[in-house]
Amino acid sequence: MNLFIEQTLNGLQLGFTLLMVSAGLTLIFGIMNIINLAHGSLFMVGAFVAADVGGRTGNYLLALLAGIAGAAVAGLIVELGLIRRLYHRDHLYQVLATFALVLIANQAVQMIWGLTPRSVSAPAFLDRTVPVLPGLPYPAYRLAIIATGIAVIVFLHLLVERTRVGMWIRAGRTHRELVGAFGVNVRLLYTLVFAVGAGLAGLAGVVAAPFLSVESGIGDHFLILSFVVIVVGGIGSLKGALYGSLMLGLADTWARTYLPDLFGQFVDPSTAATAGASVASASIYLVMVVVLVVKPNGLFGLADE
Amino acid sequence: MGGTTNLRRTRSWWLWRAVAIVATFGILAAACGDDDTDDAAPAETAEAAPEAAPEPEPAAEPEAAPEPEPVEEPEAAPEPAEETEPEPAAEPEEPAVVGGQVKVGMITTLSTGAAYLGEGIRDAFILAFELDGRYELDLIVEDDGRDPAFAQQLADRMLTRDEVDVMTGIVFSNVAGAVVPQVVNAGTIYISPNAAPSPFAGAQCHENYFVASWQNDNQAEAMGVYVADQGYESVVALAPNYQAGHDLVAGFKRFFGEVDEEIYTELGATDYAQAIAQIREANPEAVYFFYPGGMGIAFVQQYIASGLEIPIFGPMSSFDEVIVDAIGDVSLGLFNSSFWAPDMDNEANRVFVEAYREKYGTTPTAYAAQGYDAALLLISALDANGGSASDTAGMREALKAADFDSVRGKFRFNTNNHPIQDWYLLEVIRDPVHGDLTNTIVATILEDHEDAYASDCSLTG
Amino acid sequence: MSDPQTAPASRERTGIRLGLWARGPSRWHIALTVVFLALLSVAPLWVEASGRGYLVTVLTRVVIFGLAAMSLDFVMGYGGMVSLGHATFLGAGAYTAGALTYHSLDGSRLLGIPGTDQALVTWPLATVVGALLGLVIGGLSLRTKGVYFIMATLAFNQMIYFLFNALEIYGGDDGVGLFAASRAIGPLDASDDIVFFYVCFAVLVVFTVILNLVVRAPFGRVVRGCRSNMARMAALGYQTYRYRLAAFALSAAITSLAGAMAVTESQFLSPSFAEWTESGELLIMVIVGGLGSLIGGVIGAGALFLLEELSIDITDNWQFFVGIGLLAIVLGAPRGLTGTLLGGRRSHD
Repeated sequence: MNLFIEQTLNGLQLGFTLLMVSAGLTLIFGIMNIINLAHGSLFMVGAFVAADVGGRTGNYLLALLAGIAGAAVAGLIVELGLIRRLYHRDHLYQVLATFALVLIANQAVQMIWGLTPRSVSAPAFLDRTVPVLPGLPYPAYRLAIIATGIAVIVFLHLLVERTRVGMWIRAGRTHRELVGAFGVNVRLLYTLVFAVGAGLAGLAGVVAAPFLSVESGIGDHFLILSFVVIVVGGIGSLKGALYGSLMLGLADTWARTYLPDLFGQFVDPSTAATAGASVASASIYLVMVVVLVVKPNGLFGLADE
Repeated sequence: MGGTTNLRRTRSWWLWRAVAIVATFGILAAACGDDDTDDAAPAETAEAAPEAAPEPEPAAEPEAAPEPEPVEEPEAAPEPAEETEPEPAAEPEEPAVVGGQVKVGMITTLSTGAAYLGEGIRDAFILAFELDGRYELDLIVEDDGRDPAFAQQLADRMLTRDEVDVMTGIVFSNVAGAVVPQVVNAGTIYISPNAAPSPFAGAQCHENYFVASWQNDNQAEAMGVYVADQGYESVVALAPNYQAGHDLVAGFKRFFGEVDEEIYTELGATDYAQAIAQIREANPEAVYFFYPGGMGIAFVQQYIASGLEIPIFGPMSSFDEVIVDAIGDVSLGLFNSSFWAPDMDNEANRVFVEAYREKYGTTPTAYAAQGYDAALLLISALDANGGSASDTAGMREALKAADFDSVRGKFRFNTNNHPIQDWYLLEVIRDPVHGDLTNTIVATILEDHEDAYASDCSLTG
Repeated sequence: MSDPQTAPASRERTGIRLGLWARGPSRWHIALTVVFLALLSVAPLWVEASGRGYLVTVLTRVVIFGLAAMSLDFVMGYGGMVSLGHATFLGAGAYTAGALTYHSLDGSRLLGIPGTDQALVTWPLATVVGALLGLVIGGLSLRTKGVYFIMATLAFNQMIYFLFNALEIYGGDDGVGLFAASRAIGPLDASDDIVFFYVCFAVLVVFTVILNLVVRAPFGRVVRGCRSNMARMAALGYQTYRYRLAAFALSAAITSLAGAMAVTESQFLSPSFAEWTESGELLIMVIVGGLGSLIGGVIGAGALFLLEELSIDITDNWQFFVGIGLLAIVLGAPRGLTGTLLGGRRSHD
């Protein structure tokens, strides 16, 4: 039972990290209809900047802020310099241009920070365990990630549902032309949303960094996982991103925990351990296939998007 | 919609188009140009290495782990080969060279969390040739990124295009599994400075394949003996899910007995929360783990953060100087098993450790020691063949003799070209002179230890 | 069956406007195709004669990956389906041929069938497997459209990639060497690199002809029609979903064949064939060569492999420059090398 609770917490932590990446991505998709493969690179930029600043100052909070700001600035540059030219282009060219960005970013961080991976240490005040249950200590830092994820989703919910900007975002999702007609500066709105999404990706990069070796290409994996989240949850839907992220986080963690045991019923333990670990990697994609079969537009996707 | 886009694009469109055309045709033209001058391809020599750093590599890494950073640049940015570049022709003027030239292809890991493993091997390999001073080392270094399929292409290129005399360098057993058969079957000698997967020690052994480090299982076997001797009965074993991971669990079990649970994680994984939860659930008396490079740092840090207090043991690969330095003082007093330690008491080792510290500013890891020994082994074979590596049969014979002063003291080859050597218990201490964390030998675990596969190998002594 | 594509199609953006043969292939394109293939056919002799024989294997890879890129161009440039998951099929072909070869070396059986390294068996089988997998993945992915389609193909790609990783028998994520395999193609022993090049080249020529015929056939017209205006094609009574699925499966089959050829060439089977970046690289080949020109895929493969071959001595960061060049092409010369060669003044419709 303790194992189940601990693994569920691990799954939630993974899920909420994923949420920070995919929430920004889904908003960008939803409002701008732009496919951005470089979103994972913004995650990477956040982690690298945090590792650099954290390494220089030893201050986690400073590293956190720098990571978010670094990713947001990188996002701004990308939006102003490139994405803006792609709004009216076919998705193919968005894919290509942002894939080019991925190649450039992965090499650029190597050129700037070298091949040796960096690390980010968790802040001292969270570097301890909290007894979740008697006999089950759990790292405080991982609980803090879950809390951060909840804060992010609440913030985004309020932003989209309760503010004027959110109103434009909601309107822009369905009636793109109308928003412009109301005199809203659509370009500025796009840039803003893009920067917020980039900052969130950077935030995810920083909070996940203590469990990562910060190296070139770390964002790619999260990028693809976010795509799966969005396919499962539905484009443009925050609710979809939330449910999708948590489903995938839990599916992945549980599969990794219990599949080897399950396989162990049929084959010898060594084989079961290796095969189970490998098949567990594919588990989240099985979730995606099921959703695609049942609801091609995702769980909460707009029917006509 | 397309119409408006086109209108907007017309302004800079011709400019962009011109750039793209020039770029693409430039690429093609340059590619052809390169073909024509291939024989003048940049040859990187050990002597030329320090000043050959034309790329704007900032290398401003104040907080980087104590890797020998500066020397990374030559490999990261080899000299661009302009057609008029006089560089390659200028090499023979090196005064110290009297012994001849050897062209070595080194495929190693210079990226990922295990980058410092390959750096240590490369740097020490170069250092050995520098200290020796008699041979001109034409060293071609490539990073394999820990990717077997990519490394296999690199090897193909080194064999067919660069026509290297000898190959070496591979860190990871899965990369070795992809590359070594191709190399040795092509009639080229391969000297392993690290990875030595079990298949190549047994039925798939080869007369062109020599291991200057250890057979994978050996590291773990020594630890299996020690953990059993300490009276632990229930153990959980963890390793990455690849050839060496399987070898290092098998080796442990060979001398310890059955373990409670084997946990295999993804190679290169950095989040060990799930594995740690499984350890907590199994609640063993001891934990044995094999996590080289960045994986080791991540695992131990998270293990400590999880509040688990079950004692941990592992081979040298899980406790090298970079890992224990990253973990910090909590690693003091932890035990591991190795064939070597920086403070090993023999003349060859004193020379090596001092020169390495002098040149690279850090205590060498065991990987560096292995790279150094691989180079010494190669030099000894060159000596026996009049300074030329062209006679493969002669090289084989001389390598097999292993007539060199290893930094580990005694070294000789078994019938399967894998070393027979002593294995020690190491403890993590703070270096009394330099102040960094390091390993010291506290006991001998196994003497003149062979690997378990030599009898399956058809080679004879 | 109801067609999920029809209703929203009109809301979709106006497809890919830059397909070169949107109005049917011109004489110039056929001339370019012939000239390029002719050049390619003598290239190995030339490099061999000039003492750079090691480039023959590079040329073989150009042919093989060019074939894959060409089949991707077929669904993308003509069918308007942007697949970021074609490495799936490359991997499927590689694993079909590789697994059979592995079992023939091993003497073991695969699902009761003895293995073989005879390319006349492994290659067609890989093609069939690719077609079936294309039907399944295409069938699911084509239920979505636009960005969803791109993401779904990418996600399937990743799923298949992890499944290959799980195949411990073939070395898991490490892959397995098949160096002892013969390169038997019928009675022909193609272990010589030049001979093998010409075998692959012949396959490329055959499929170049086939695909060129297909895009001009009625079937190809419908597929092209779906790209520019799916609602209209549906209104005309076409089952657009079925046409698009058939096109996707055809492309998957050819890509899978290329994967089988690639594993016979490298004699090394590993999941890296199915890595998502491989999908991206196929996409780059198509765009560099010129979308909607078929031969462009091969030209793009040639440009990319040559760039790699050239820059490997100069910089480890060659992908950085690929990225920059790709940006320049996307922003400045979206019609790629072929389009730029043939572009003339008829720039953007």
